[in-house]
Amino acid sequence: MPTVFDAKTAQKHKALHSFCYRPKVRFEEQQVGEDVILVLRAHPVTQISWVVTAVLLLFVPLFVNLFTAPLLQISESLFVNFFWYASIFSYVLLNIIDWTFNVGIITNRRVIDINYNIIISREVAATTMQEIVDVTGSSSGFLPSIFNYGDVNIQTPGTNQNIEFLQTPRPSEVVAIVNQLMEDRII
Amino acid sequence: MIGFILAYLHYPNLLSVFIKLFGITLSMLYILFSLVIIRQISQLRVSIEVHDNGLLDLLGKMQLIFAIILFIYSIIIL
Repeated sequence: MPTVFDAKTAQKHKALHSFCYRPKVRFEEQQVGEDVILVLRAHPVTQISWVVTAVLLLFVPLFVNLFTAPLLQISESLFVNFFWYASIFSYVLLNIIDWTFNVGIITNRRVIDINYNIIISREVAATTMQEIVDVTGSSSGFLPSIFNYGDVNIQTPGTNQNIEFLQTPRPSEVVAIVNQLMEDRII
Repeated sequence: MIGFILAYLHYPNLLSVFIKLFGITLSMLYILFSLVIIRQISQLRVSIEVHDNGLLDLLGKMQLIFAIILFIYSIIIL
């Protein structure tokens, strides 16, 4: 098996920072001597849906204004349009925040999944390398096959919460890295 | 009270009054929402480091500026 995890390997950022190998980042729950090996986000291709939605929403006032023009004054129409575009801006911002801060972190000791839902909740799930029972990566579908992304499922024993990294780039590489880290911890 | 309601109903631009009230309420809520987002971004930065050169903070503040503009617009111009 080729060496996928090498302590000397330089940091790499792939797929628009959705697959960061040995990044220079720190996180809140980081312990002393704990090194970040991987930081994972959803593959950029999975974000296309909201980008397309935002672009389409930009054109809605062009049509709506035709019908509302006889009803509203110019100042009112301007307000409605400005509010509409501000709402689109917020929609884009929320999606960017959602993508940026929903991360999976793999360190030399633990696997951490930070799930953040804007305003509503923030959930952090973590498990140590020793507790991991099995790691599986799956990639199915047209786009996942082309762009090489999929889900990584990390199983823990008993009632402990399993950790899932959804739509992550290079799932097989992630699985290989976790497996090698598990072996290193056991040895 | 009844006289006020009747006068209100006979107001020539009922839709305009409704839009003004709607605009003020909505833009106030938008300001609150923008402030929450700015606070959330700064809290999330603590939970994980992001090297974005302050882009998210800038976008958050831009959103607040838009909200304030909408509020001022709804009070003065609408």
